[in-house]
Amino acid sequence: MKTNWLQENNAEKASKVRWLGIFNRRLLLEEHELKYLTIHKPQCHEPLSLATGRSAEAATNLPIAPLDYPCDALFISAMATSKEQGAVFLADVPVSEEPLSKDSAPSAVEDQLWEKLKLKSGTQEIPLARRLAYLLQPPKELLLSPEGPLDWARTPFPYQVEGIKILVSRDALLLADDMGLGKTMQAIAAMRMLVHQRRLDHALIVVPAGLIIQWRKELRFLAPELRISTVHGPSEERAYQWTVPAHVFLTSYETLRGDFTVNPRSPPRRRTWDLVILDEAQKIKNKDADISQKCKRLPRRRAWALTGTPLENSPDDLASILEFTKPLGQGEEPTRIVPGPRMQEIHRGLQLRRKKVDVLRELPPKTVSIVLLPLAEKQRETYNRAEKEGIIQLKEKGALIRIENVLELILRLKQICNFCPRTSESSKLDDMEARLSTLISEGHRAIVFSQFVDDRYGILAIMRRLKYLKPLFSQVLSMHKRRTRLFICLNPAQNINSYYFLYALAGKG
Amino acid sequence: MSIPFRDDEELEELGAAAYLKIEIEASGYRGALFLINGRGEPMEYTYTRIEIPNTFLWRKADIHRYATRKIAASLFSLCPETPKLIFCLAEEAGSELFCQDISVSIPVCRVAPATSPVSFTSNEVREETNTSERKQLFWFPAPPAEGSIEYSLFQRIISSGLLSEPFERAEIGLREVYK
Repeated sequence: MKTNWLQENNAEKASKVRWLGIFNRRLLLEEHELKYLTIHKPQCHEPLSLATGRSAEAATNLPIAPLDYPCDALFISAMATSKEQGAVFLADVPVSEEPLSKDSAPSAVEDQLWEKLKLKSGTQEIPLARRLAYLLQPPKELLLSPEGPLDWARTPFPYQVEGIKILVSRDALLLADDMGLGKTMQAIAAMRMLVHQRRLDHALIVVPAGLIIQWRKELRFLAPELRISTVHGPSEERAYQWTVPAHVFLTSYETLRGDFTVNPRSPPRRRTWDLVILDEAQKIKNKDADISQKCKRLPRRRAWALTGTPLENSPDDLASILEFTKPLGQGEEPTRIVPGPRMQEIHRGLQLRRKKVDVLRELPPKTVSIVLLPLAEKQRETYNRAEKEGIIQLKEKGALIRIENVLELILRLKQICNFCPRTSESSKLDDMEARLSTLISEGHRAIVFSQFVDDRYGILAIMRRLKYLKPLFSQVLSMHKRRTRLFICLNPAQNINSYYFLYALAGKG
Repeated sequence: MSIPFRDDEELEELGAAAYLKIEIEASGYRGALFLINGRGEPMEYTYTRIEIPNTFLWRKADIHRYATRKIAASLFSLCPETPKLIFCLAEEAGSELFCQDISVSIPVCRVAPATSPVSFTSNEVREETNTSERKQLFWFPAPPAEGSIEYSLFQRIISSGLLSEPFERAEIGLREVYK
């Protein structure tokens, strides 16, 4: 509330004062969606200078290139002789299907644009309050900066920053980066930025059932301030989960298939989602599959498909994914796309794909250091004796000797290299302890792999000796459980009170 | 329906910081008071413009002082929310604006680039930021006391890179309003 905190000395009333108070949060959320923009409608076919930007002034003389990401536009300014006013509905600019770029000929760009921009009457000009509400949001560069107002749990690599910026500025995108390059992270970061820019209220993320927990953890880690509703479980619980106030609704393909019914008021169809993300989008590669149809019928303003393998078997797979990758209004029918030159054109405009080899230089280098350690004195004695005795035993076997006997001796010697069975001396462990202490003092965590599990030569023996470092131990697990466990342990947000993680590779590791 | 963020209560407690932006235009001056929260999100935007007498009888410095005073007073009196801190650019608002012409019960900070020569009075307290965004700060009457909400808000603004960026947004808003 306003208090009496101001006093103008020798006060006089200012004659020309206008006031605008628009940033009430609720109002902002309702009004943030920018759809109509004022433009100057040309009546002649002079070459157009088109640009996007934060202001009309900046937009005036820029080249056409920024139209690559038109949804980021605050203005599409078409400068020509006429000053007639008009307004443009941005969603009618299907740039993703017919991308305009700096390589396009100006006349083609002009024709395409004016055909696609459905000019409205000047009375539909966006109110100043809305324009300001949009313009005054924090810029994405600031939001994405590690020194910006949003805390980022991980500093994204440059290629990820590029990916996030593109996602933020595109209504439709097929993010097809190689596995391991952080598609999930990029999607969450972009979504977080859109929420903070008041351009997104409700997002739906559809993932394979096995990845729900991982997505939830990533969401909490990367966007902790967002409210998440995981739609999963019995139908009565789901009915509630669909209705809770949340920024993000996370569900599986199976659940979506069940909850998306013919009733247009069924929970997934009830609202037009500001964003729908399909993770592992190859799940909808079969055009005629029930789940594919349902995903494509979700009303949405933005559609992002994430997959490392957009084309698994045939071009039809890709066509099906591309049919989803487009905004869809309530009651509209999804567009059909068939393989061919037209699909290739759409695909070029929609896909962002980086391979590991492309971004290898941006990834942190893997350093392999082979450390040769001399055995401790007693350890060396034990090793030599075991070697001698072993060789004698092998010789005694004569012609009956088998490869298993040799491997058994090598295994025995390897065990002694870990720990001396007589004195428990271990030069390896001494060295490792020193390294771990350094790493831990620097705030790092470590994973230690060993072939042996037992408490004499293996992991359990290491754990006993380095108990004070609070180790976590995992034996061979299923691939999914192993990945989950590793994620929990290595994720700083999990606040695991442990500094290193022992991993046994024995058996079918 | 608006969905509140999980950390909204903390942000609400910190309150708002106001950025006073004043520009010269052809026939006078225009200004905006831009309020943001600790996350840089816009909360209020108040703007005004005044025409100045175009006569040789007025000295340029006097006109500037008169105009900035009128604009600042108008904006502050009309802004519906009371900010916790006020920032302005030293090149736009002289020290006399808050030391003599207008009295506010809120810490005011004039911001200037680290290397710029800036005139300031003995009533102001000069500080320098140690962050990557190197700036000189001139506080009136004094910087916020350690432990206060104003101090927390200021720390948040400094650590979020929001010391000078909102002035750019305020300028964009003015251009939009008066284009």
